[in-house]
Amino acid sequence: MNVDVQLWSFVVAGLLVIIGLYAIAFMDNLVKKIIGVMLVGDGVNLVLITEGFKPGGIVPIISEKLFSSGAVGDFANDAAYSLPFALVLTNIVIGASTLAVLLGISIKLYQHYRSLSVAHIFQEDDA
Amino acid sequence: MIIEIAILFVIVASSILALVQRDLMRAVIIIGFQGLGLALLYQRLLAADVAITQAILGSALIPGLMAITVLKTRRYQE
Amino acid sequence: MNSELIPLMVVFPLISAILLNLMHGKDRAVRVYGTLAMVVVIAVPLLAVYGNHLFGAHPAIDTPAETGIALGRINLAIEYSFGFLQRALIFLLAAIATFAVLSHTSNEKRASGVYLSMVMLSIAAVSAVVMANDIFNMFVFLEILTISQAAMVVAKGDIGGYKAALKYLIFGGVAGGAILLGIALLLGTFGVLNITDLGNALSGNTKSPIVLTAVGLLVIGWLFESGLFPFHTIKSHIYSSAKADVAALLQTETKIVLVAIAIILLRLFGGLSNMSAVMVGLSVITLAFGSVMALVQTDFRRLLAFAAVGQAGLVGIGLSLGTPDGIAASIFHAVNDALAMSLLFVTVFVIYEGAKTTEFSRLGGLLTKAPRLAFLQIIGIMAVSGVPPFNAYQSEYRLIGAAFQAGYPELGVVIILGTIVTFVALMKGFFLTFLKESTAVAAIGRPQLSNALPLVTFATMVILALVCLGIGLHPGPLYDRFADVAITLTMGV
Repeated sequence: MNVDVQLWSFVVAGLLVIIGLYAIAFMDNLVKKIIGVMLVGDGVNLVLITEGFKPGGIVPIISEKLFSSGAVGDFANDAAYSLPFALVLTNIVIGASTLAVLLGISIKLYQHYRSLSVAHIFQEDDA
Repeated sequence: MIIEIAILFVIVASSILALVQRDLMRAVIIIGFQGLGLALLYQRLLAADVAITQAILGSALIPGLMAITVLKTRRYQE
Repeated sequence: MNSELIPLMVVFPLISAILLNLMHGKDRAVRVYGTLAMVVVIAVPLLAVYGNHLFGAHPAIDTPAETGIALGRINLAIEYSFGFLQRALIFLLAAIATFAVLSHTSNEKRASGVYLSMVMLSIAAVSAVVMANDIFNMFVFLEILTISQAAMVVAKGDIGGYKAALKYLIFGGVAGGAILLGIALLLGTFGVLNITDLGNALSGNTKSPIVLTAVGLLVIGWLFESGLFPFHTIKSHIYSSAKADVAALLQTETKIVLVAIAIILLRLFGGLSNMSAVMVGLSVITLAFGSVMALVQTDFRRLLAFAAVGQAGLVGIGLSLGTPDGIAASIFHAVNDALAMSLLFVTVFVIYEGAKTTEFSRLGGLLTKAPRLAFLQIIGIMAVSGVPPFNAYQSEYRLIGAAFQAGYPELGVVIILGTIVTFVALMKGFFLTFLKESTAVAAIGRPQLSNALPLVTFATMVILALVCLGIGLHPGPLYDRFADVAITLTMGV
């Protein structure tokens, strides 16, 4: 049954990327386009997390108790693969900073054009 | 297992729901639920450290920034 | 082998970026620190010893059997490797960035700490992309590069810059996602991120559908970061919306990143002929589109922006061929073109500063007002379009030779045609700005153009022109070293 979770979370990751790309390509509102960028990032993150997941495993955090009980070897066998988690941690932060810059730019564009519609903002230059 | 499937459903549903709203503030609040769902899912997928970060960023900071943007611009999509 | 100065090339600009950001508002501190920091940034790549730096000094170990990784030895640390290629590219970047910083501190009344911090951030990012022997590290710094480039474009402060930056960041988000997904697929299949290890693991395993998907995603990322075909309008929009000193820096960074990622792709998937074919095809299309669209522009900055994108396609052609000659000629052309294009961007910057416009309809007859500028610009045009005594001639000639040797004489013809179109487009710009009779500018009547060229700007233009001429007359020392780099690179594949 756990295998199913892994499979379905891959499917959901794919769905998030597709929804995000749809929003970027076809939504007119800037905030929604930005949400689309965020969804693409979330989908990729979910792929990485699911890659590191181990059905029936344990959280890869070493505690004091593990060393004293001498169960470090079992821990290495059972723990999930934590390298992708580290990558996701980096990517979440990068995604958030990109998002912040994008939102700042869209506020500035709104102040100039009084609109968040991409069709309106990019009206005059079509090159 | 049932919990994971439910969380996955919430994630997809809230992503789609957020994008079809005409009220941007509502969209921002719904996207917060998507971030929270992802955090819970990361927790269920054994990535506890990532789940904490995602919970803070995805359900508080990013919706907060977006809410500020919406407040400074317009609330309803034209 | 552990040279202590290697990480400094990334760490120092990062620290400077933070410090300059904190200093924002204190005009004197920003000026002094910005200038001093550039001295360090230029000096470090010259002083550093060639070698590899392992972060945390974790050594390579024999692979434990339980990991299931099909390699004898794996590297544990994030690795930066520094050789002649890295030194040349980082030094080139530092030189152009120094010009951008100096022209900012000398021309602006108030030096902006935030702007200089973004310049520093982009220097750190490009240096890391060039040196990183770790594919995830490359991705992280590419994202940082995208953000800092967008911020530098925004720094101009007009609405066009915001629009260009918005487009660039949205596409950058998608391209970043593509790169990370490619990395995720490779990590899931082979379990390593180090490029050397990954290349070893991949050799002979490149036919599985997962690997092919990863190749496609990484190539999409490469196309975006280097502004090749589907993304060429975004890149040229960025160039033409930025201030010209920023544009010079941006196009230098783009060419360096193009070379760096293409080399990584070749090291990983060198044996894959499909990938080379796609890369060559898209580069040729970029060359054609860039040059032809440069021809029809009515604004000098946009013309130059498209010409720069077209030249990036030229660099891409040789690298995608994958032969030692092609790679060496391409790297050489990337360096030459970055120098010559920077010269052209600076001359247009001066025109813009003086006349407050670069629309051809409002320019003309500047030859009598600014003869020195005209002379420098004609040197730049000849250098970019490969007229013999200058540097791009040497690299384009070698590029054509490499295309013939690889068995694609048609590519040689395409390169010649693209060069001619670029030359015609640039000469059109020169004619309309300097030679055409016009009363429009007389009405604007800016005295700046005729006498007071800012000293920093003038010195930069002269230095760039001399370097272009110097490399054109003595290509040997530089090209031979690049050839060695290319040979070692293709041996490893």
